[in-house]
Amino acid sequence: MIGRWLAPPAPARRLAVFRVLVGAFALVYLTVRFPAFWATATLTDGFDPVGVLAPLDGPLPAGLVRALVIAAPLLAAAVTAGLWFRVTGPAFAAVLLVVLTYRSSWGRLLYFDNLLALHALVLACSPAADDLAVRSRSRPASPPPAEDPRYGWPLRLCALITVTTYVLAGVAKLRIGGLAWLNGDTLAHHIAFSASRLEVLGGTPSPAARLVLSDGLWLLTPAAVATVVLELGAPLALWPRLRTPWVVGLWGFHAAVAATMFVLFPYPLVAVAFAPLYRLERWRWRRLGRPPWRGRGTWCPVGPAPPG
Amino acid sequence: MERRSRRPLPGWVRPAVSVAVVALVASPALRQRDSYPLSTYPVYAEARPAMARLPTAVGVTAAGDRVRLSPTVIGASDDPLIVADRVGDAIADGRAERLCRAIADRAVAGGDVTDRSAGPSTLTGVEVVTEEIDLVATAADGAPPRARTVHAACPVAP
Repeated sequence: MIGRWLAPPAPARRLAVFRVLVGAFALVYLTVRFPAFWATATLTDGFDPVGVLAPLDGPLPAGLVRALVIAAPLLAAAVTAGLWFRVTGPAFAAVLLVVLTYRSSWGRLLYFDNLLALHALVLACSPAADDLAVRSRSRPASPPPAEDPRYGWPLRLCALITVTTYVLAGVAKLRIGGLAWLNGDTLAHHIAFSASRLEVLGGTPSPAARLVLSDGLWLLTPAAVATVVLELGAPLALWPRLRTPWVVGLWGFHAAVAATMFVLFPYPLVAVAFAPLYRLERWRWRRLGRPPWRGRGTWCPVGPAPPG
Repeated sequence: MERRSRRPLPGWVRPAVSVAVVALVASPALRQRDSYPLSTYPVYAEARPAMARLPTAVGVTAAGDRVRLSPTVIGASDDPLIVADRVGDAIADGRAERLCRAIADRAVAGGDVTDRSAGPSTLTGVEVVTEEIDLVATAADGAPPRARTVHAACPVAP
């Protein structure tokens, strides 16, 4: 029973679509934020390694950091295309983990892309390129793989990781902030702190923050309660009937944070964080047209490697 | 997780691995230890008081007024989180004088101040300060700081 729930039979396309979403998101994210990652190569003060880099005694050589920062989006592109995924999938997950961890190893832990790193690690260990993968013409086409638990399990695991992180966020608010977090003052002070910090540093605070803090303070108590309820109730999203209301609520929270504090959590804002909760193969891919690389290979089911 | 399995996995493998992964993701909360990518996710969790002390730098005009400088001039970055850290660290480490001179050089080179009525030529100095502010009053109404502690002051070279 629990085994079937954890690993429901799923089509290869569902997992492949998630791979494409994660890879494409990473490609755009690593490209847009390239200057920030590139800059970590020349940092010298305040190195405080965390996670897999915790054993380091000092910063990595600048050349190595630059090589990893360049390799990461290239590997993301390969993963998006499903190209040589048995190699590029694990390599992408490892390089991504190091690049993101290195950026958080300078005295300030960042929380924008934890889920991306965790989802990439799960995908790296899965048969995520059995469909929607570019293959060379020398490899014969094979029929789409049948529904199989090995395609459903990685998605369920990613969904479990997503909801677990939100539960942790809710627990942290009550553990650190206490029940006082629910009265709205803490939320008001966080919004005001972000706006004021921008103000004193010569930036442009959010007009939405000014509007909320001057005329909409009454909104913040229900918003604080709703935030904690949604976070602690995240496991309910694993039930299909409650999935979309939960996703919409959490997405609204992230959108409100972006609007009032100018703090973007891009992975949930573009909904990739929530994608493993859905039957992604139901998207109408045929309407997207023929891919530009059609003449060089084929974007199609490649199926498992033939035995022997 | 299997990649190219030719035989079904034993029934206990997937539940065991799943429980282990979820336990690993949840483990920072049990150990009360934040890291990356395994985290306690304490974003916005701490109770923040109504008053705050914010490190920054301001320009000083010939008339003695204080004007805002841009993040790029203050911290050589357009990311306010990074700029805030750089100013805070400089004050904490006793490097406020050095930061002040660097800001003055950048103000002259870049001519980039937030208050456009006070161009770089009108700046006579820079101060690295900590401002004590009422968060909501400042964010909602632009209230001035309640107090300003000056850690370093330096002239702007013409």
